[in-house]
Amino acid sequence: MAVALLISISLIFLGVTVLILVHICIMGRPSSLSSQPSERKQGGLSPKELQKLPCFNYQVGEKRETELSSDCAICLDIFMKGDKCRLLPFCGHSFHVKCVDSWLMKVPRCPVCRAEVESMGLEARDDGSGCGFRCESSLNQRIEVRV
Amino acid sequence: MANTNLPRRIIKETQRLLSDPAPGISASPSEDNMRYFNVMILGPTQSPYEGGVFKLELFLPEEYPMAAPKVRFLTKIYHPNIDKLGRICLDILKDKWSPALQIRTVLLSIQALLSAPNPDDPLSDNIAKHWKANEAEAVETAKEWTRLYASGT
Ligand SMILES: [Zn+2]
Ligand SMILES: [Zn+2]
Repeated sequence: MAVALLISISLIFLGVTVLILVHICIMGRPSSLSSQPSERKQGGLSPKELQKLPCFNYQVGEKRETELSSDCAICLDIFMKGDKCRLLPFCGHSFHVKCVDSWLMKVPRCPVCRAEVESMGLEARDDGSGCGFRCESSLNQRIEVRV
Repeated sequence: MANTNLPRRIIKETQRLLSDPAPGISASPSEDNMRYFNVMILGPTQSPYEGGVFKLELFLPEEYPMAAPKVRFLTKIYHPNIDKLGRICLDILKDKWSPALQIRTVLLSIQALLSAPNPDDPLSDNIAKHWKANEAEAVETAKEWTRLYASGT
């Protein structure tokens, strides 16, 4: 009788301990996340989010602002006429689409200035092809972006 | 050569490193593996590593530049952010890597780390403790190790 009582008490004790541990595990996680808000974004952008980022075909001789350098910081190649480029909306740095997309899928930050890249608030492009050849003229698009 | 499909970016970086090396830094690719570099960094003046020649190895992984190069000191060095195996505690080699960084910028950052040891973000606990407890003495040890292990020849 005493043995049975002892066993049941220790089982209850064990159960409570497990519950407490589970509780700590679940509750502990969000608080450890919120302690580093700057690292909140862990994953990169999805293909759908990437499609919302502005893009343009590089034009030679077009009036370009100084923030557009003449070469891509990722592949180190000079931008050539017709190259598909992506303009990051918040910092204005641009890269080849193929170069920057594979990075943004890993880390949603600008490779040059580390500004966070979000597609939130940008309108989805309706050409469905992402940053395809049918991109609108870069000038209109850039004005839209800069406002 | 076994490097027929070496990305153009790596070829460009290599050419620039060879034709226009950064002061106090040399990096040359190995003959049988163009992703493996033999690196030498001169100890910066005004640092405990002054006068030393430090050998490192640098390897560009398959995912480079989407992933950081792997760099390691081969020369023994007494530094709070470098451990016994030569591994380096430097944010741009870990979570702060960006594909706009290059071999050159990485090596310049390592050179800067030699000028500015940071015992608050240690890789080598003992050295960091020593550095915090008695900086002058730790600096003396670093100078002695430079003489012993990095004297060039
Ligand atoms: Zn590019
Ligand atoms: Zn930027």
